Amino acid sequence: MRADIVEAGEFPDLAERYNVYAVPKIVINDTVEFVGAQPEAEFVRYVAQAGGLQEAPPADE
Amino acid sequence: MPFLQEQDAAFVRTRLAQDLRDDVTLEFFAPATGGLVLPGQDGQTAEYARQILAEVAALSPKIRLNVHSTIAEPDAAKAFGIARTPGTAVIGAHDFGVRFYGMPAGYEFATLLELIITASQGTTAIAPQTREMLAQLQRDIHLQVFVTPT
Repeated sequence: MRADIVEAGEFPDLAERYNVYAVPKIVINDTVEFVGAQPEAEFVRYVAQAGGLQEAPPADE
Repeated sequence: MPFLQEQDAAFVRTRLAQDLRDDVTLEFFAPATGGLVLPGQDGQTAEYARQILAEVAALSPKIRLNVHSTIAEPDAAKAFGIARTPGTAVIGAHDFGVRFYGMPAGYEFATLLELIITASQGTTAIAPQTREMLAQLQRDIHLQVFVTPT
């Protein structure tokens, strides 16, 4: 896993490519995206989706 | 003029002294270094970014800043997976894959500090269920987090 923090104003080409109108905007593997801070369990669901897991595990088991 | 005012620097110095464990290396990449500005390149932003990193590195003996030119050292940029400039790899005891692109100013200065501390501690407070899920991932994950300094 790698994580890039990108200052949107300095890289307008990326901001345009990923339609960054509000921050923080998170893009995972160019396929899954969301805006705003999310609770960890929600965040993980997005990562699972992008990571090829058929079904994201429940938040608490 | 320094980026950090005296009282901010004192705060950061204390925080780093308390929270750093392993040494951290900031591998900073800009097209050109040493104040040289190339035509068509925004050398000013990169220079500010370098200055901020240098000031942070000066606040702890556990932080080291290495300044690279992507033109002089294209292989180093590739080795660290630096795709754009100014770009900084924050490396702790291992390379945890975190890169910061742009100037770590404003609110993003706090992000930089947290990155440095997390890399130094080599661990995060994520939940056991999260670790379990991450272990099951079937493909590599590339997270991009877009931010602004305001």
